[in-house]
This record gives sequence, structure tokens and C-alpha cells, in this order.
Amino acid sequence: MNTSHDRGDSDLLRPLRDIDASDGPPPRYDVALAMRHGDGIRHRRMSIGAVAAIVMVAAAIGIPLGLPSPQQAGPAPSPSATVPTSSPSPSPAPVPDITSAAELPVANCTVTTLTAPAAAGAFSTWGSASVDPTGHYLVAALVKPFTLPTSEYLPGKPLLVDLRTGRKTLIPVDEGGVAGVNASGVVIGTSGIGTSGPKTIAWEFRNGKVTLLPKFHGVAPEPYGINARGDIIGQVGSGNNATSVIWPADRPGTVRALLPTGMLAYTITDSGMVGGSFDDKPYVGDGNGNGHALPTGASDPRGQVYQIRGDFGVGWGLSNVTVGIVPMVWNLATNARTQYAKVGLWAIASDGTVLGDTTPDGDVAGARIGLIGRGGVLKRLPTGVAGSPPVYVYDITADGTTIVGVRHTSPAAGSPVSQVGAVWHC
Amino acid sequence: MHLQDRTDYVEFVSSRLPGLRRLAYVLCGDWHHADDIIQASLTKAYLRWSSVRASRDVDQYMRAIVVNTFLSERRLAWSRVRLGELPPDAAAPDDASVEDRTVLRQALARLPKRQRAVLILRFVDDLGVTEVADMMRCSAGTVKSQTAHGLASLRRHLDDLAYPMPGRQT
Repeated sequence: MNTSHDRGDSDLLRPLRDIDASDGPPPRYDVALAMRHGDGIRHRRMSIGAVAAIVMVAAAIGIPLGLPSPQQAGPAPSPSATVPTSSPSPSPAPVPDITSAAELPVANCTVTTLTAPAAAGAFSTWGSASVDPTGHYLVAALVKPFTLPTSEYLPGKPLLVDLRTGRKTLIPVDEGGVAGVNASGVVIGTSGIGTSGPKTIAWEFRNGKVTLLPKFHGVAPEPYGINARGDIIGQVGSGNNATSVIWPADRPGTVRALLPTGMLAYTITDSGMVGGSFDDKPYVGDGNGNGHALPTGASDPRGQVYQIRGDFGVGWGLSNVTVGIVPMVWNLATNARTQYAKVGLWAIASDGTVLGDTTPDGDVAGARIGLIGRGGVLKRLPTGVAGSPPVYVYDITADGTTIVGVRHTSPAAGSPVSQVGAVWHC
Repeated sequence: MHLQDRTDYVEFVSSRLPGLRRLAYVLCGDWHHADDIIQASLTKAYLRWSSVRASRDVDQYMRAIVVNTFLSERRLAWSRVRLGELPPDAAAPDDASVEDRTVLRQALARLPKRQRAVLILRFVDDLGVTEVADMMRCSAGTVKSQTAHGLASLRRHLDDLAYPMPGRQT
């Protein structure tokens, strides 16, 4: 009699080889849901990691730096796709993708660069930048020059820059990231995010002093945004267990959950309006349970708003896995929404001017270009130097005249990547 | 993550999902549980997409995420995502191979999770010792010992369950 001992090791498990994914019930996983959860987790951590991540991707496919020189004129920009709408509604007509940087006219902006202070030591490379709505203060995460490939999340040293005086202040916290700054120069950020996973400590830097933000039920939320009066929003947990919270300025030392329960907030305006998503829909509210979903379309029934300035919100609509993400601007006053070409949109000004960047498929891989636009029409930001090194943009002021980001220096192949801060004046 | 990277992510994982779902199922033995593992793995892969793309073997990196999600899910409760109502199970085919699989599954379920994963990666996915060691973040020696112990235990459990081996001569 043979026993299982008589079978070869491989034969023993052979019946399992014939299993096919289609043998089971219809799958329940959802790629779009995974992306939404991932966005919630990383939304503000990207302030210290996105640049490294994107650069790493570029390097992995063998990218030299450089694009054709910026052109002062180009073919007609992408058409506007604004439609007045109420939820649910047909989606705006698809906007043609940008396949070449040369398609876009160059915006009439000048660019200046910023370097890290000597006191930052090895943290000499700009990992990200953010600006307060008035353009008075800039904050950045300084990181060490990184060799590719590297960890996605690079711990950084937070830096506050007074753009009026040029004064640079290193914020005395452990390595981490910065999430934002308001017009009074109050900076929020986190420490303790490393490659081994998040061990978040949330802090604010006010009048030269770092203060830890109160924990929520014993757990430190990750701060996401701050408004002019000092209300700070953040998030604790992830996925379906995520909770958005607020540290209200009028009740120092307290923290509470935002309502409705399940809302994920990513932005807070000076009036206290919070924006994000609720029940997978883009949503704005007062944080006390009063609010409404923003319009969605039949083909992009989900979405989220990431930043609100004035009457405008920027974010994306989310459809199924085959269509994916639709860059979107909502006019909160008219209920209209404007679809953009397939680029990354990151911030918005009070007049609806959007800020984004993209890597046009038809260009040299890794040639990231900054974008500024309105009404569905995009222009490219100049790089200010020959060779058009990649730029990554992060934030724009409320009046749309100042943009902050980072620009590559041009390291020798194989040497660590270095970036300088960049400020565009438009 | 910028939009082009998102698109690349969607295109890549969409093309790999059937294989990853199969792996998750073989590891855990339950389709609904497998979908939970895949859901959590998709989020992890999204968060690490730059690393995934930059890795020298993207498929193995993705499988490693699934395997380690399976191995660590009790330690990382946050990674479990509820996916809504359970759909009805597909009708089970009625053949001898299904019976074999059922008994094999019962025997595998009695093994420690790491031993189970080692056996499945080596003898169902046909990965070498080094590949499995890389994937499970352990030494080749550990894989070899887990393999030996796992096979011995599996055979013991199969004998206990009177494993109905096709073609067995009595």
C-alpha cells in the first residue's frame, strides 16, 4: 500500500496546482478602494516621500534628465470641459491627454530657487515644500541626498522660511515631515515616520516652540491641514478604521472626531469648512455633521476633494478600475465641475487656478513638468534653467501668484539625487 | 502618487489579480478570506508602488506582499478590510480532485502558517529555496528546515485523514 510518504514532495501538493482564481465566487476586492485607502494613509506623508518615490520610478527605467527647452508658444491647449451639473450627472467630456510637453504653452512665471541652510548638515536636499495661502511662509522637509532605489518615505528635517525676509528656521524636532503652515507661521508636522512604519508624533511649531498635539483615544493622529485661525485637522487609523479629527483653535489641548462619522477630511478652510470624502463621495461640511456631497458623474460616481480655496475645490473623481481617476475641479458656488487632462492636480487658488504636474508620455521619461491652469486649460511652468530638469510642484497661494515646489539639480549618473526648493512667481 | 503612477499601478495589478487571488486562496483556504488578503495587499502595493516597480522582479515582489500579508494579518489587524456582503459561493465541481484538495487543505490548515507558506511557495508555486527565503525575509536554512518539518507534519496529518490518493494501490 502506498502512503503519502511515497509521493514526491511536489506531487504531494499537486492537486493544489490546478486551482484557478475563477474556481471561487466572484471576487470582492476593489482596486479603486485600495487606492482610496492608500491615499488616505499617504496623503500628507507624501510631503516627505513623493519626490523620492517618483524619482525612483524614473531612475528605475533609466532616465536621463532633460527635455527640449521650454517653448514660449505651442499648439492650442486642452479644451475646457466645464459643465453645470447636479449629482448624479453625466461626466464632462473626456479631455485629451497631454502626450508631449511641447503641446503646452509656457506660463508667464519666473522661478527662483532656495537652498538648505548650512545648519541642516546632511539634510541638504529639498524633499517637498508647502506655502501658506498668503505667501508669507514656506515650509519644507529637507532630506539627505538619496541614491536610487531608496525607501519611499524619507525622514526629513522641517524647515520654515519667511519668504518676505528670507529667514530660514530649522524646526527642532526629530526627523519626520511637515504637513502645512498658516499665515501666522504656525507649522504642523509629524516626527517618527521611518521606513519601519509609522510611529507618529504630531506637533505644532508656534512662536519658536514645538508643542505635541493631544492624542485621540491614546493614538497620535497625523495632522493634514491648518487654517488661518489655527484649527488643525488630521487623521488616525487607516482604511475603514480611519477617523478624521480636529484640534480646534478655540479649545487648546483638546481633540475631537469630525462628523459625520466616516468622513475623511483632507483640508480645512479659514472659515472652518472641511473637505474630503464621505461614503466614497467628494464631500464638504462643517465638521459637526452638516454638509453635502459634491457632484459626481455617472462614469465617475466616487471621488474626493483634497484642497479648497475660495469657491473652488480640487480633487478627483473615481470610476472603475478600467477608467480610473479623473482630475477634477469643483466650483462650490455653481455646482459645476471641470475635468482636466490626465495629470496630477495638487492644489488650487481662490480663483480656480490649479497646480499640478505630469510626465508626458511622448517626452523623455522622467521629464516631470509643472502645470498651472484654469477652466480645464493647462500651461507648463518654466524651469528657469537650460536643460529643463524635472520639477515637482506642491502648493499655490490663494491669489495664485506664488507656487512652491522642488527642482532637480543634475547629478552625475549613479550619484545621489539632489533637489533645490523652487518658488514660481506668476 | 502622481497620476501616471496610479495608472501604471491599476494596469499592473489588474493583470496580476487572478494569480494573486489564487495564491492567497491556496495559503488561507477560503475565497472570502483570500479576497480580504488581496484587498489589504492591494493597499500595501499602492503605498509601496515605487518600490514595487523598481524591484528586479515585480511579480515576486507582489507575491511577497500577499504572502507577508497572510503571515502578518493577525499582528496587523488594521490591514484587514471589510469588503461588504459576501456573494454566494460558486458551485463546487464534483470530481475527485476536489476531494483531494479538500483533504489537503485540512492537512495544511493544521500546519503553522510559515510552514504552510513555505510548502505552498516551493511545491505549488515552484519557487526555489532562495526565492522563498527572499520573499519571507528569512535565511535559506530556515526555509529548508521549515520545508522538512512542514512536509513531515503534512504527511502525518494526511495519513491521519486517510488521504484518498488517486491511483493508490491497496
